[in-house]
Amino acid sequence: MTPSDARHPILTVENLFVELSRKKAVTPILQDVSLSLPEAGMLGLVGETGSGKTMTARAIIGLLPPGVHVKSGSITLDGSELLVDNSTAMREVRGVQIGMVFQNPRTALYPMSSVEAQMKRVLRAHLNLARPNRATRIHEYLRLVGIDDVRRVARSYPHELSGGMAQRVVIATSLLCEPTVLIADEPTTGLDATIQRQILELIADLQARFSLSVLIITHDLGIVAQYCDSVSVMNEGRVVEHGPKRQVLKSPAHEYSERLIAASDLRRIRRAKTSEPQ
Amino acid sequence: MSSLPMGNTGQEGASIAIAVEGLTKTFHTRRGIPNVVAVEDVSFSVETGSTLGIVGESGSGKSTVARCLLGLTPVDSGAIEVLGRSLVGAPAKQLRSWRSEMQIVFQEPYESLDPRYRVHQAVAEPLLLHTDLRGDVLGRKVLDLLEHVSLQPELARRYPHELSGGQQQRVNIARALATSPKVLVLDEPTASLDVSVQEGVLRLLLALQEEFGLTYVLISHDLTAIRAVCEQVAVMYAGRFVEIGPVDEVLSNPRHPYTEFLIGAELSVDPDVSPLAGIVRGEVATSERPPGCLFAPRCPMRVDQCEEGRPLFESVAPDHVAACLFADRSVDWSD
Amino acid sequence: MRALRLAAGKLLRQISSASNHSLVWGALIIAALAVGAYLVPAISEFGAEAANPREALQPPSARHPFGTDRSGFDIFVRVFHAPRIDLSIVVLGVGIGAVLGSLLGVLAGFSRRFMGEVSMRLADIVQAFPLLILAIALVSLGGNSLTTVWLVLAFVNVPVFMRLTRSRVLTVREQRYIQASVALGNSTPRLVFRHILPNSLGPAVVQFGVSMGYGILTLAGLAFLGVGVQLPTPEWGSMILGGSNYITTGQWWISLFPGVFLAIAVFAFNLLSEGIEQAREVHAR
Repeated sequence: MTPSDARHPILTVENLFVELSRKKAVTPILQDVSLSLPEAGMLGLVGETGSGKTMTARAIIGLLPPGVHVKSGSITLDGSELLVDNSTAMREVRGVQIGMVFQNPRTALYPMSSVEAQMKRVLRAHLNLARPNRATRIHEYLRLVGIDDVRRVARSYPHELSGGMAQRVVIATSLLCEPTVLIADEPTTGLDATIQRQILELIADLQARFSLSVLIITHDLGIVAQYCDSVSVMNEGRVVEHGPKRQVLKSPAHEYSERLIAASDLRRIRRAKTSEPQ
Repeated sequence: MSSLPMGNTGQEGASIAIAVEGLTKTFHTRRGIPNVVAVEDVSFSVETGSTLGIVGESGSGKSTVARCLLGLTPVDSGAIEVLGRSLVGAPAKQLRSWRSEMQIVFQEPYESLDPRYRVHQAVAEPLLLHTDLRGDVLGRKVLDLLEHVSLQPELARRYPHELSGGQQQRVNIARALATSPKVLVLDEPTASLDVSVQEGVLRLLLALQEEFGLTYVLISHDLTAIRAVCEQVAVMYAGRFVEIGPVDEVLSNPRHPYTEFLIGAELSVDPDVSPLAGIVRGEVATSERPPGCLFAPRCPMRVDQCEEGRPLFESVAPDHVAACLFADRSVDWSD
Repeated sequence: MRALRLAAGKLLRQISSASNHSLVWGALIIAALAVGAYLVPAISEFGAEAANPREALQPPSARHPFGTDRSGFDIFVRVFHAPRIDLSIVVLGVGIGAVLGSLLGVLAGFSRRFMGEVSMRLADIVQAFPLLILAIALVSLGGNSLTTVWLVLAFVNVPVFMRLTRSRVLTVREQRYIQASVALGNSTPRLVFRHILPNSLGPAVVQFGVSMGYGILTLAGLAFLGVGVQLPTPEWGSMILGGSNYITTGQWWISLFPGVFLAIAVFAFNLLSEGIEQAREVHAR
């Protein structure tokens, strides 16, 4: 265990093996993945396309694609095991206690209902609130994520929102049930630099105000360096390195993390016009 | 503002590969929906063999500039000269024959390739269109091109979906280079690639530029890519250039608040280098175009004067201009 | 014979181990029907159109595996012989409809404005009528002959394929690779025929299987109503019609066997189109 895990871990993944079975062939997808998200901490899970970072998130929230299943391992939320057979009860726990923010916010929203209608649906499914209180709560949460003209946004349909605004709505929705853990899968990929900063600042602000524990899944080491406390680096379905961000980013122990960090700093190839293409 | 704000002052020897003046493009939509001004009064020139970066956010009009540069989108007004030929109003047939000398690589490596064309067919297509190469000679030329972009010859018979993103983009580059063009427009060529793959593609582009003396226009939202390959950079906001100059000069000494913000918003991978404390509020307004500075609604330095008219380019250093009333002052981000 | 059975068994095992069952089985059944149409009449001692009143209305037996009808036709031979008419007319009719419809669809999709609008409204009119009723009306207009039947099949299929191809072209022409092809210097005709058309035909190929199934049903339906194919030409629909009066009196086999074969043929074409769709998905991912 590394020093960053000194705080009580709220969400842990231990020795998780996930595989894809199709016909008779079995392909391992995650191999021996262990993560630990400290309470009120922000953990970055980084890796490139196909590294298994998104699959790890989906295993945690119990939304693995068809054919993909957990072979062995353990996922605990606040001490209670999530990988038990009684899946409906667990789904309820996950739905309420874990909020999820996806990449591509506009497709994460249901295109046929207004923002308010879909947020109400979430409330109805998970919380026992009197009808008049629902709208109040929705407006309160939209304001919380920095939306000024709450009424207009609440009435809007997803296609009428800009990417940044849609991501704010997704974040507000994921917070409706007051989760203890927020999982954000590439929350700013595809958003512009100015909007990316706004969304990241928002997540950091919410984390501090509500002592949320946040798992940020990203390919961008800049986000890790600036916003996370600790980082787990994934490659080919395995966690290759884990530690406080300073330690990992400044003196990576694993060769893959080193390569990733080097590649993120494109300044190196500046005017390196004589170098050979690889 | 109509004179070229950048370029060849005092450098009589350097030839100009691309000259654009007063480029304006409005997309006309159906009745009832306001027209979208994509590009407004954009002027620049690029010297032969050098790279101009155009940086901006989505909706800034930078991709429209790229398409106009190749005559893929008709322009409303303005002049575009590429390799001494005026593209505006050129007949379609003429434009088609010029395409062998100016090419484009798009952001989406997979979507840019016809899914039914094998790699060698895709790379051969421009040669079939513009040259008389056929048969074995053509085949050898294709393999030669693949080698140039560091693709193994075994990949020639694959379909695009059987390649990785980086390989797909290399195929796009090989195809664009097939007819030995002199001008290559790169529209976010690395945006959808993993970081380690980005590096390889950028290195490749630099090596090819060196080898063939290519002139590049690199469209990107990513300052790291711009910094890595460009000599000059133009910053675009809401359809207009707001700052142009040598890349080192502009990025180390930005004179437009938007440029300064873009640089400040970069997230360093070094945890000890903090990004700019302030963040720009709001979003780019796409439908409203007030008469003044288009960045004014979001600008921390805004004064009433900003809304009276579009600010003119002010020279702040040799070859370095910025369209801001306060180009000579620094921004105070603490608000 | 034994060697043949072994070879067939080996082939079957190989086929069933292939991943795309629908495609393989669909194609296999259709091939079997087509081969059977020539093989079975050739080796059978009864002619497909040879009446034998002395052996009329006999139940299935070793001599007549599927029994005989009221004129003493051997149903076994006739049921196998029928695809010669059923398949060939439907392939011809639907095929012409598909080719014509797809071409019109490409044109309609490419010239969005006038051509597109006019042709789509015409297609709307044609498709507003129920298929079978339209077919009957057209056959009665054009004369009760086989030529009219396949022309009708072509006619009703043109709008189906046109609509499908047009909507696909509208999507394909907006793809990035089409823009890239323009940037490479493709002329408009080359763009249409080398890039847009090949990428737009997929759904039409899938639809072809479905339309073939419907076509067989339409043809048989028409024959059942006495339109198009006439007795004694062996055809499933007219054979079902021929036996329909006898079902209540216990001679079930006259209608049953052609009905079963009709169902198998339609099923096979649907399997085939599903298989093609699967194959395309694997290819295009």
